[in-house]
Amino acid sequence: MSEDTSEITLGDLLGVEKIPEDQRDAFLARVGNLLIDSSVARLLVSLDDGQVNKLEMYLENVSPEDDVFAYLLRTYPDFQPIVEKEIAALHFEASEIFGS
Amino acid sequence: MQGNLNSNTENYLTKNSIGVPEYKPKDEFFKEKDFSDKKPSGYKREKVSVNDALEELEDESPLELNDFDDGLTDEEFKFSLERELEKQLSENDSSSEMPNGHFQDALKNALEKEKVENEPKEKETPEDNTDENENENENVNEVLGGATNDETEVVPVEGTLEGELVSADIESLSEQSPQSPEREEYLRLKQEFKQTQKKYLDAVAEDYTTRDHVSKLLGIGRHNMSDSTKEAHDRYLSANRAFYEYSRDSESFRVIAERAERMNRVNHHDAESFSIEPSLVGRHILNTAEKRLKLQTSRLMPERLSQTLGRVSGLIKNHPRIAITAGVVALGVGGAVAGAGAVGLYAGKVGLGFATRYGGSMIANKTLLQNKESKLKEITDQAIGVLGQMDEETLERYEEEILRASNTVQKTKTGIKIASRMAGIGVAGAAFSPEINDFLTDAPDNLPTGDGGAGLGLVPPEAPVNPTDVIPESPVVPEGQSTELPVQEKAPLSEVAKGWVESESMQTPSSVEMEILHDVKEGDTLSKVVFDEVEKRLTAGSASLPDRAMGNGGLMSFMLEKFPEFSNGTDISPTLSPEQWQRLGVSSGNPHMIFYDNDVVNVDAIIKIMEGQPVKEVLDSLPELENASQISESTSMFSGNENNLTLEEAEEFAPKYASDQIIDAPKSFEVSSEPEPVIPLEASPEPEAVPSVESPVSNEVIHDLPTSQESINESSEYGPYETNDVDNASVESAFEDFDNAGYFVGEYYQGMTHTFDGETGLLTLLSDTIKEGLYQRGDLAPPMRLVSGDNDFLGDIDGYLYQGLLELSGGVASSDYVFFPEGTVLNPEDWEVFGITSDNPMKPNAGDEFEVGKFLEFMLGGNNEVLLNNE
Repeated sequence: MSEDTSEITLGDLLGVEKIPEDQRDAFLARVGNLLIDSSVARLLVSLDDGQVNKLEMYLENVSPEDDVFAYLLRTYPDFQPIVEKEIAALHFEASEIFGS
Repeated sequence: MQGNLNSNTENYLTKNSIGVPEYKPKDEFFKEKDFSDKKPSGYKREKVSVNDALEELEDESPLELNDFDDGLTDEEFKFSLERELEKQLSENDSSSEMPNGHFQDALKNALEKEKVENEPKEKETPEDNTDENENENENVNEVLGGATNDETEVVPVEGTLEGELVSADIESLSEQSPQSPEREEYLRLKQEFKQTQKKYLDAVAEDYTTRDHVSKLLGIGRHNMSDSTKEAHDRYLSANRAFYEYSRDSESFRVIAERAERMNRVNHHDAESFSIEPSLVGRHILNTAEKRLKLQTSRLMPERLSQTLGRVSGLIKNHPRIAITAGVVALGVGGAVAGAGAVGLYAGKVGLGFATRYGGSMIANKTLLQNKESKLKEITDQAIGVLGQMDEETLERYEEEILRASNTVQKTKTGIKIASRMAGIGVAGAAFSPEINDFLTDAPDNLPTGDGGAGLGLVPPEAPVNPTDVIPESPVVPEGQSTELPVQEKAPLSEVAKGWVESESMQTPSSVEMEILHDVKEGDTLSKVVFDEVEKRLTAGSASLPDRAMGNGGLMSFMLEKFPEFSNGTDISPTLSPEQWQRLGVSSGNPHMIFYDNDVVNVDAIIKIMEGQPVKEVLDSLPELENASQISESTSMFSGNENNLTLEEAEEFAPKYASDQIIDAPKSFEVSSEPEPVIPLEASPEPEAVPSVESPVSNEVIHDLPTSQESINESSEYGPYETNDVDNASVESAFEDFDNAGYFVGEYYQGMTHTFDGETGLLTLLSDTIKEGLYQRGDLAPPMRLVSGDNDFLGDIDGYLYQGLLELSGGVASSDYVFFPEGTVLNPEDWEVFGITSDNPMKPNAGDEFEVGKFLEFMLGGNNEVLLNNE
């Protein structure tokens, strides 16, 4: 087993594999929501007024079935790096606490 | 972390002779702590453990339990318990404090019941016994001593009304007895954790008021924090870690986990073991991050942006699968955690961007959750509608319901596991997902050995699949894939196959869910069937192939190397003769021609040959072929023939099909014997000369499509086009050679049309339709060539669609051709085949009846035969 901690996923650090299935979805959703909310917050403050207007227009007309998160990922090139940075930050935090 | 503990033992926490906490069996505990000679001194102290309370609960009827739980369902109660645990862990004061709500009610109920039962004894108990009272305190301290942070003993204490319940929290105990060193250390660490957390959050808040660049401050990360905030963060992390490690190494986690699991079993008799991990992660990681985010959005973001964020969050919460999938991808967990192999495979794929992994996981996950999503949506609709004016308690109630629905979904996912394992990868209804294909060919390098795929989660070790959980009507089982083990009792088998089933399946360990025989289904091609099965075995570590088969694209190449007859080439030396293919279940003797509802192919034997076993040895091990002649008399259809040709009809085309069915080349393209070109060839374009409009989906400039063949050739409006020197035959050949592995379009799209209203553009319609198929219906998958290598169709669907339309217009540099063979251009007559009469196909006329399904086949599937049908 490599000592390279980069191979340890966030899921490893958080012990997700130990969580029984009937608890897991809620946990995953909690992590996902935190990640999405924090990323979207950062994205929003990086947009200019025109871009915000366009996003709001999209939100006005979006189908209830649409995957808004996927839309953001494909529409704003900077969003994916933001998301990945948020994951990295969460990974860092988890490593600092659970990484022993 | 010690979450899942066996809680069957009735142990009580006490201390050993040197003060170290230890557990003793209930009987032994009470024997040692015989209180019969104790004498209350002015107050009554009854010892009712949590376990006793739980035992009392277990004796209750379901109805009584429901009443007891204030009407909460099992799931609600369980969720409440989780929240209570987390809250308990997060409280500033002692974690030995009794949780509020139902759990406390349970104890209260139990205690009152015991009180009634013990009343006669109490009356016999001497009134005055100060010394004994001191002993009693010692006993309490013993019970709660050491690291008994959360082992609650409910006692009526002095000065309270008889029978009144309070928690024997740390404060009250500290007045009665000295703290154990362990407990003092625990409290010290906890206090430090809480204090540093508060200081850190205060520092974050302070940053907001003193720093301008708010965009750098939002989010989970610490970059761009002020130095003072970083210092506070460091202290917080240090204290957090120390507290976590101490707690982890103490008994407190075990006690809490045991208690939680017991409570879970009381309320959820068929539940799996209960894990405390979510609570721990919540306390040590998520709580702080959530608080910080709340702080950021409430104090820092302009109101308008905050509202926009709320709307985005609300829409996302509308589909819990979005957050779940994002969580899966973020955590990089395997299929065991994701609930379905494909989801985990996507999530864990190294080297892909988040968007691609997310998109892939959603595709894999989509159909999986489709049926249950409506239920989730109903619940979340209610929550969304009143979000913002809802108090926390009510919001949590909704969350409980969402969780309950998610649990229902989980059962579907559990059922799907079997299908996933059988299918290897394809859980989305798609034939298989191209990106997963890429991954699986790389899988052996990433797989832990000897775990049967558990490392990737295909066979979750901690959650054995219960076959009864399989939902028979589940739509997510890939077409052509059986959810059954190789004994395919339900499927019609040829006589030959029956012999195999009887002989081979008995040799197949049930734990190795490999497919020995494949009952050919509509849509199958032999190469795909074999490819899928090999992938599955590679994932499970049960296939033995050389290294060169493992790399990207290596498996396909290796297959062609071992079975050249899988290729479309004409000058090849087949590995197997037609008779040998018949022995393997291909009734036609031609691997390009298999019949569904008739052929049962021995994929295991084929793979053995791929693995290097001598052909003769493999074939000799098979049962004798006795009734092969019956096969050709079957009325079954050609596999994959979407035109429902009869066998006789299909056989007429056999020479054609013989070169089209493999490696997913366009299936019916060569049915055409027309020498006329179906695609006009065009010249090298000059895209910069194409007039532009603004893209509806981005700020890109979109070039209008040339309106006709003539205009492409002649109109200076679209720039000069050189004559393309690619002849018709070469284009046709290019279509033949198009690799459409992974491409899948469900029946839903066959014959689908859309009547344009004059407002909607072609790009929008295609985009909406494809996204719906990808992300909502789960019955559409792009070919591998569009999502691998340099292509990332899923990452930019609109952009790629636009690219494809540009290709058809000729307005694209030749090096940029993605969808079609170079030079493929549609003229007005071609567009009319698809129902578009407008001079500008991008803007169809009102009333144009667009052949959506046909166009998708053409654009995604590379099937240019559709242009021949101008009906």
